[in-house]
Amino acid sequence: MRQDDTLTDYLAQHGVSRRSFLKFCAITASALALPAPARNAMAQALGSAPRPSVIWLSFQECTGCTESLTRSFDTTVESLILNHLSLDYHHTLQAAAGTAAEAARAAAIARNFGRYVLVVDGSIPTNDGGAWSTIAGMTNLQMLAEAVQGAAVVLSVGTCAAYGGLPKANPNPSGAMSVEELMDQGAIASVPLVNVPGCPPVPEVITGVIAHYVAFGTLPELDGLRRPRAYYGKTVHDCCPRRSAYDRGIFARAFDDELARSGACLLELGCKGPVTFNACATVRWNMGTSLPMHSGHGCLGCSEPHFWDRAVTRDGGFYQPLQAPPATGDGTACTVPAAPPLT
Amino acid sequence: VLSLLHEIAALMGRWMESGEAGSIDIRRLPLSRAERGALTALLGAGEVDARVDALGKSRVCETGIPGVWWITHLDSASEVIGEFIEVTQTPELLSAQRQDMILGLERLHDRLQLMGRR
Repeated sequence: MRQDDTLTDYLAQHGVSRRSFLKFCAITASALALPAPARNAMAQALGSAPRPSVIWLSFQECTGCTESLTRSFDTTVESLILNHLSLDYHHTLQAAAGTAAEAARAAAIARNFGRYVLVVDGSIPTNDGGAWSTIAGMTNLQMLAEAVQGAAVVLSVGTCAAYGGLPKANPNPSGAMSVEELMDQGAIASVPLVNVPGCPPVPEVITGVIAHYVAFGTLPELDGLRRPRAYYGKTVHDCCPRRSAYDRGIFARAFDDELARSGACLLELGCKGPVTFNACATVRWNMGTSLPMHSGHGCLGCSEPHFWDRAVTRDGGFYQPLQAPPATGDGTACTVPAAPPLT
Repeated sequence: VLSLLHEIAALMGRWMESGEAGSIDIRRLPLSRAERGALTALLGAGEVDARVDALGKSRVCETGIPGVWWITHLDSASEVIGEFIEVTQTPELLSAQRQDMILGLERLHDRLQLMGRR
């Protein structure tokens, strides 16, 4: 694949017709809540955009975010878009290791300085001089500080990068911090940042944000926590398939009891959906198939800041009834479509 | 529903003035089942009912108002994943696309070459 190939060229080489691409763009633009002129412009802009350089840094993480993005059941336009990106450094996925891999990272930074997309998953340890996590003799903070300087935009993928996640849970031995906290403290340069939280995030949300940036050169509209409003504007509860049971006051008393199996609300079993903003109920998982509540398990609230400590200390555990009142979503319709799989 | 019809009329007026196509994302609108029924009844059915097979099926129907199209996108499990009203002469989804035609011409040349060898 040549560096100057456009996405249209690449998709055509992989048997995706222009009509399929137009359909993908219409549905992705709808999921991003783009106004009509932007919807019409998206196919043109995305199709003719050159391949963006992406540097992906993984710090204190479990690799679940990368798994989420790369483990589709079938080939999707999203996965093809990911393949189309010039993924210049990703130490989990790349074949190179050691000195060769780090040289590739340095070369990619120098070659695309000021233009590359920096994706970060995992939190950054700051205690004990950052010794809790190092790569090639560099602390995570040193590597992040170096890479951020030349980034056009940073995507904090997953709750760990966005808010500190599990490594930051009490007592936070490594002094884990999020990318945003480090920017706010001046420990790293400040560049445009978008948080895509979730443990892991919904893959269509990650690619939707990247597609928006590639097409328009800007980030989609963000909320106060720097999340894309189109995907995180509603609570999981707002669009839950068990929502009508909640409205009628029908609650399951135990997992898999008669009520749970007949669609009763899982609130009393600890569901955190009413205070969790995420796209699980609208985009769903596994190419639009389902979300945990379809399988009889409540939401853990994994896309919210401090979700672990909040559940353990405030709610008395993940399986205790939620203490907080439901949060208010944006009130828009719940029928946001998922992106279609290739057939 | 009334405001939607006014919006469609405005999009038609814009197309006639400038040739600029317009679209409305139906699934972003909080339409009740009754309102949706009223909208489809008011627009009526037109002369074209086309099926497209690309990333799952799509249905492209001209409504009873010429140039106003109702487009429904389905996934491979036949679930609706997108629904739009488009105001234009011919929706882009129906037109053969230049890039696909270029690749098609290459395939046709290959077949002609193959036949020439026989």
